[in-house]
Amino acid sequence: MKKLTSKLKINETMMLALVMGITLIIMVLLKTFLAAAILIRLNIPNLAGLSLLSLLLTHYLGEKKSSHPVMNLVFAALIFGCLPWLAGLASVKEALWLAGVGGVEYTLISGMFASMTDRMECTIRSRLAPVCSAFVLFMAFQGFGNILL
Amino acid sequence: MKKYMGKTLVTILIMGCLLFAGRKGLAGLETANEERYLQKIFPYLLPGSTTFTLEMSVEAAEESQADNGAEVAGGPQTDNGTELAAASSAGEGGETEPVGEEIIPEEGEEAAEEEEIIRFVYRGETGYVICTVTQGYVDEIELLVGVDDSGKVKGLCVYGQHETFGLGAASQTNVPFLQQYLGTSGEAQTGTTVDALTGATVSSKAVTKGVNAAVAYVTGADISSGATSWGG
Repeated sequence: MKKLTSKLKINETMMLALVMGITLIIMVLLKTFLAAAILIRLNIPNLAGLSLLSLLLTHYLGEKKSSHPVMNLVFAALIFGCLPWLAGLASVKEALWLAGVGGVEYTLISGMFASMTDRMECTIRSRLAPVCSAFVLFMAFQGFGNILL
Repeated sequence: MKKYMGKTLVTILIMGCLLFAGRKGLAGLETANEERYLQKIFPYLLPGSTTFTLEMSVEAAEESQADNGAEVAGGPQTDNGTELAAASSAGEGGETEPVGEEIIPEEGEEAAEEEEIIRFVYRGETGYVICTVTQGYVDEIELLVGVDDSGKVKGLCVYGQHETFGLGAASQTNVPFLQQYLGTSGEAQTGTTVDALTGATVSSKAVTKGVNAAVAYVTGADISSGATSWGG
């Protein structure tokens, strides 16, 4: 797996597009085959979870190069806005909201995740440092559950 | 840099195409599966009925709104074809009026407001199963309410909600809470005739509003008065 991903040179935003795309495909399939299923809402805590998952996967499997924050913002907005709309899981208004909030959120999270992981890896040499950082950030973003709905 | 941007854009494009194709390809199957699921649970919501036919859907309502200048709400048809509940038009004196050509603007506004609550209506032999959508605390709450021809609630279930886990989300699973609505005829009121869920007054009010809207669809009562923007 590592060999394959390093060969493909998957960067941060590519991984985000893959994670978001696969999640949405699963949601579309659930919506189709399990009519009674209540799908998760694309809100701030869940977007944070997806962002952190993609960052974790990039850290372990992808390219180590970090991209420019402005590029992160633009691509994240594109990913969080366009993909749910194309999947039919968000209206135009919701897609615009997701693009705005998701873009800013991903940019913030990627910055915080990188700095936290670097700091932890300096002191505690552990392969679990990114997981710990992601967990702490995920818990922190749960506080935004009822904000900006 | 260009390579980086190009690779990301290609990935987004591929994922977007996959999702769009999947959505379009599975659309028919999704509708069929939902219909099958609904037909399976309808007999539990409206005991005594076995066959259910779609009487009104969101699309049909939107079309009728477009045709009639957004002032007419659809209502159930009785056997002789009389419009039973043209939203608020039959509210005041209990009269049933067919949808007329001249509608006073205020009534039209109320009708449109009420229609937003109803997503679709199925007709059974003994009554109706109505899907209502009301605003809860976090998001919309979708209810399926079985109402017999006399306007009594025979069964209900929460079809969709995203309320707070442990509080409002209990509106879906708390059987004693839902049982309180059985047998009501539009008089349900949170705090008086119906006990609200602990810590979830807004969600409880939304459920009450949905149930009362379903009954009002059948009886023609006016439910728009007294409703808050958060339901109830």
